[in-house]
Amino acid sequence: MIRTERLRKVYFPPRSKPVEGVKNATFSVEPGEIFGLLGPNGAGKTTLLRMLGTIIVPTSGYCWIAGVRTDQNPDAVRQHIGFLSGNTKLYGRLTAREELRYFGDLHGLPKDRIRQRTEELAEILGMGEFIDRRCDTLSTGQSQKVSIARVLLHDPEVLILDEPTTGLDIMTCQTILSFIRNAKHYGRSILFSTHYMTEAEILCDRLAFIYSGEILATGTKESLYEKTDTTNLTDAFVRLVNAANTVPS
Amino acid sequence: MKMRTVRAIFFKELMVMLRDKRTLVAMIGIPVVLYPVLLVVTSQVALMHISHVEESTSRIAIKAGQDPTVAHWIDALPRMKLVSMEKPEAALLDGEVDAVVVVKQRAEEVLERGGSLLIVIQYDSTVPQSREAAHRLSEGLRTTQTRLLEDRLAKAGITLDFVTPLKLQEMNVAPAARIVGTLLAAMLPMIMVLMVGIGAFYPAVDLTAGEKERGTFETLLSTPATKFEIVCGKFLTVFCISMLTGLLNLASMAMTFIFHLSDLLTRLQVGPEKAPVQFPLGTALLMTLLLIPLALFVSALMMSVAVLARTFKEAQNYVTPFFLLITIPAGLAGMPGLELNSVLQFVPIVNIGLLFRDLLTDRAKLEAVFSVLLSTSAFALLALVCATWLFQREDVILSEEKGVPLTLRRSRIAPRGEPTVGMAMTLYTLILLLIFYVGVYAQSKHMLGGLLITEWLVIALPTVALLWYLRVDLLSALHLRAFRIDGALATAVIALSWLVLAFQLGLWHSNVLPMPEDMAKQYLQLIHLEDTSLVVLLAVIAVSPAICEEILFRGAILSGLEKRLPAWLLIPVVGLLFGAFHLSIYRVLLTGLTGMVLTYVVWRTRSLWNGILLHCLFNASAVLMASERLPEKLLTGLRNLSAAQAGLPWWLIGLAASAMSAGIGYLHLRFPDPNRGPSE
Repeated sequence: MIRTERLRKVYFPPRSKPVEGVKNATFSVEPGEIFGLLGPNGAGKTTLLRMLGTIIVPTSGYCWIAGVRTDQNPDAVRQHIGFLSGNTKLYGRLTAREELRYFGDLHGLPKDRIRQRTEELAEILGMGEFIDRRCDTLSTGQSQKVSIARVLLHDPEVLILDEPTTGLDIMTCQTILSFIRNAKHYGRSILFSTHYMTEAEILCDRLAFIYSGEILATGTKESLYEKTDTTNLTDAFVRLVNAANTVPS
Repeated sequence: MKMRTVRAIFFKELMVMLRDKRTLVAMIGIPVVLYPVLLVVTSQVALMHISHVEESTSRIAIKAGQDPTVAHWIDALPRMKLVSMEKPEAALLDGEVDAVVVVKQRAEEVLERGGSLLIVIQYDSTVPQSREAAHRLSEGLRTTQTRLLEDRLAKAGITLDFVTPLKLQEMNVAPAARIVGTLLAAMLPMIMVLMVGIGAFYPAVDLTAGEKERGTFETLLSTPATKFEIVCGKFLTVFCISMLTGLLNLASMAMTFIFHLSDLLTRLQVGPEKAPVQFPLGTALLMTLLLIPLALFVSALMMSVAVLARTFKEAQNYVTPFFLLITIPAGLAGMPGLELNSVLQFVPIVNIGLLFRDLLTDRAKLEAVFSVLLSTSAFALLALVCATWLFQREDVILSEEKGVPLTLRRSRIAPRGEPTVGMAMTLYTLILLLIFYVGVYAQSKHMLGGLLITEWLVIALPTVALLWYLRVDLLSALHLRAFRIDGALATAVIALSWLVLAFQLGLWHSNVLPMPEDMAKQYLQLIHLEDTSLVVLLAVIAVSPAICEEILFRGAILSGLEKRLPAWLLIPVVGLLFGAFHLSIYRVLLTGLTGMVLTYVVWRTRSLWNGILLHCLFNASAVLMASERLPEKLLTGLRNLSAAQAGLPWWLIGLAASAMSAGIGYLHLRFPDPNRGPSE
């Protein structure tokens, strides 16, 4: 469902040396699988996810989403993706309902389908009381629910979620995590980045550790514990980072 | 491009903009309220002031010693009051009197002996009441003077008419409509440009930098909408709001002037009679038509500037100086004496301003309207292409760095097989403008040399250079790889038969829309350069345009557009671009049709060589026929053929048409459909 091959992104900041944001990332996510991307801030998680979401173009390497290569037909790829990140905010001057109608239109959904999906999602996510309020009056949790509804509206096969629970209260967090589990149940491929190790521990089928643009290790949590001789993800991560720093790649 | 997506973006952006008070104020509030209030207030104040001055009594102080004669004269004048002052000059400066009359001689005595009495009227030109007093005094004393003169002449037995052989009277006969037109023409262009700018300003900033700042751009980019669709939707919104603002201003201003200005003019006694002021419908329609490219240009440019910023505030800082910059040329249009000449027709904004003025004063020419529309549309297109290009760049759209986030290094550009639509259109507009600034000037200095410079340095060089810089594969983009001898033969047949058809079309065309004489003469002069050898003439007029223009049109532009447009649209579009390129409304049709023939041939055969061949044959025949250097017999034959007003005989036209169909049919059957690709 998601497959990447030696994906690389180099930035050219003005008046300084090129920066390698992501170095040769190769991994895959199957249908019905939750794949966690773990790493500290600035590790390259967002850059990697943006490449998969075709928001930016890789410097080299390829990725396939639902069998379509992103550099060949990026517009078709986005039809199969639900993309959520800290940078995908809502239009403050639209109501939640208008927001969903707009994004439904952009995905080419028929009008009735948009209406029907909006009702369904409002019901499941408990958005009934604020669905006709302008988004700039919503709380962080309410906004995140609307964003989740936006991502799920067109029923995409692939979900790319960049730190979807950051800054949320416990209850909203739970709603969103249960949604991710539910999506897995329906056979979606979910790529999900976080820096909360516990969240990843509970949720993910497989994981990748990313640190300064490089994927240090990929596998199930058990295989990662075994590989690093640890018992939790935090220790495993720290050990891998230390190893990477002592042996310059 | 999916129309549904563009429509969805457009309506959503429009709704979002209309939910913002700032847009509403700029778009509707200002025009609807500003003009009536401005006009009513200024006119009321002016009228009040004038009537106040006119109805007041002037206070006059006299310095005339003991002689009362002058005081009597002044006292007899209407609305005059004599006051006595210790120091009249000081009182005048303090505003205690309106004028001071100084008489140093004894009036009685001077008049008695038939002398001339000097009367000095002192006044303060900075005070309206004082000016009015001085005016009244001179007018009044002039009547007294005439009376005294008549008395003296009567004593000598001479009539007044005898010493005034001429009587002069000035009378203003300008119709009120023209007075209004002139008044409007001085203000309207500037106001319209300003208003279109104000209309575009806020949406341009809000929909680009504002969206980046609010963090919704990435949301939009994560949908299946393409960048091009996003730019189109946003651009349409900015354009619509800018256009609406312009139209509302135009309407509000027209209404205000129609209802209030004639009244004001009569009261100010500017016009000779109270005539209803009209805003001719045709003028209003033409102005609306001109507003379209102006709004397109300003909107696209403002969007391009604003998208470079990361935040709303930063964008305001970028766009404000740009906004001030466009008001300077708009202001120029209000300058008296500036004419819409052939150079200014191509200076953006100035040209629209001057044309607005000429339309309002009924002096605009069709040719100028065409040039201004064409050049402003060209600039608008260039600006739009620029905006689209900027939106394609992730370093601009997702800029997280400070400052203007652009690099222009060639190595950062991905190589490609053919140019994009944007590249093709940029090239077209760029070269159109270059021709105007460099080409026309060079040709006015030296005809043949200028033509050579235009073709090679203005058309061919920039095309090849830009394609190279953008890392486009030159051989494939310019269709230089394929060549088949049968294709070339068919092309030659098409060329010769089209020549006959074009000749006949030209005759019909000149009956419907005859070319102005001096223009026709200029064209003829070019081919009739007696002292130039035929070889040079053919090289400059036939060979070099064939190569250079084909590189641009059937090379870069065709390959840029051919994947985006279906054939039935592609061929007329490239043809018409070629036609418009000749910068003359009298040549658009014929050159456009020739362009379509050329486009079809190159598109079908995938070979620019055929285009060059056809173009060259066509131009060369025109040179040979016009320069009368063909064998005498052939020339006489041709002359006899075209002697009749109706033109060529029908059998020849029929023959040419069949030959042309045969040539095109051959290409159609023997060359694969380019849309199907080489494998099929």
